[in-house]
Amino acid sequence: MTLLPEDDLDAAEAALGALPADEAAAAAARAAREPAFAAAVARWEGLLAPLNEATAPVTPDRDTWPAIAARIDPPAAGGRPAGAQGQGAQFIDLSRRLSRWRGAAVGLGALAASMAVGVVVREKTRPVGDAGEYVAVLQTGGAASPAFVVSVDLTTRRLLIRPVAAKAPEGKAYELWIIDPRLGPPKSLGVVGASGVTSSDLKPYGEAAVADATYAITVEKPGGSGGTPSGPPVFAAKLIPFDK
Amino acid sequence: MNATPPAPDPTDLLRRAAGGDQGAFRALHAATQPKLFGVALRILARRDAASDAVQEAYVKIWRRAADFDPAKGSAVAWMATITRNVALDAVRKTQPISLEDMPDGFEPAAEAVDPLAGRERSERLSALMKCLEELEPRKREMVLLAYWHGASRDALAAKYSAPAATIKTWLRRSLLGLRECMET
Repeated sequence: MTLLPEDDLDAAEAALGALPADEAAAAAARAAREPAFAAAVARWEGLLAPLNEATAPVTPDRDTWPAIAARIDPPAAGGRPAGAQGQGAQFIDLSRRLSRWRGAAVGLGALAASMAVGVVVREKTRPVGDAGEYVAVLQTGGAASPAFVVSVDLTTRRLLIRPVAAKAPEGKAYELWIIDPRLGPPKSLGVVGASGVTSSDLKPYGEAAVADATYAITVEKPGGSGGTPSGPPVFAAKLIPFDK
Repeated sequence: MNATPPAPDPTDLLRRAAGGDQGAFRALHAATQPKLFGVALRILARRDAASDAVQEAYVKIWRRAADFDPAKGSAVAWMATITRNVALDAVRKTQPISLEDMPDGFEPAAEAVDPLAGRERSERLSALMKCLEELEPRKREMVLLAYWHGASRDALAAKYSAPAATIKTWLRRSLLGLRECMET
């Protein structure tokens, strides 16, 4: 797929960084939708990037490491988790895809505030009304270790969740929640099986709420909380369309 | 001359970080933080804002480490590009950059020399600087003000007393010229 010369120049200007805020936002949205445009921006960025070599290093007043360390994944213990076996290709694919998504701790009020390292992954431009498969990767932040993959078929309102790199602490269980202002307090979608796929019925909830909701995981006693989360979520994410 | 142990190679550290090695990422941070802070500070001017941008940039670098392709440039250049984009996002959210504080006759190419860059200037930078020198001085200055200081089209229009549409045309022609020059 080739870009029109005019589009390539839009990409050039976006890479240079001279766009006013509104045009910069439009260019970013376009790059998120159109891989060809994103690639063109990246090519221009690559052309200009050596200019950074000429920028003098400056020692910051405060070391930024502690704040960064608090926001990245702990090192994976013992390499890839056993749960990822047989799904290796997809695991990697999702990780790579995640790395292009913007991670942001979004304002879910007290809920988000109580998430120590929780990061909600979402895509900036989610085409609404594009029926079919939606997917969310529930993770603690960072692309290296997605913990659960959730997929939702909006037509049948069926949710499937599969742990990818998650093992509940000894004597505990993971419980899945759907959270949306339209639904009131978090609604339990049941306890997630330790392995394999667990399915959950979303028919009680409206399509818009299902599509917009945050899906979160809490740690509960075996068998589940009984209806109210007993603590802050350890994983949370919003749905994004599954584009392949 | 070579008595000191070689500095860790950022490309190697970044590759290890992509595999989840947090220790390598910490070493990469230690080795590159001043550079990235310099990149952010140029755009944001305020040190606290630059620190915030650098912090945000490293989190993104950690997440995207697997996307880095050494065939397309150096690890530091790639990291600097991410930092620049974070800083540009931040500066656009606060206020448009004004170039009023910049002295007349400001010559970015002369101003911005990393003491190390003189000796360690990469081939890519040398080639790019050579191509920049082929641009008209004023157009070269605009490109560098935009790249190094995050000057927007409107800020450049004010500085050069030209309509924003004209600046846009000049910038685009300059970029095309640069690419053509780099490809030959």
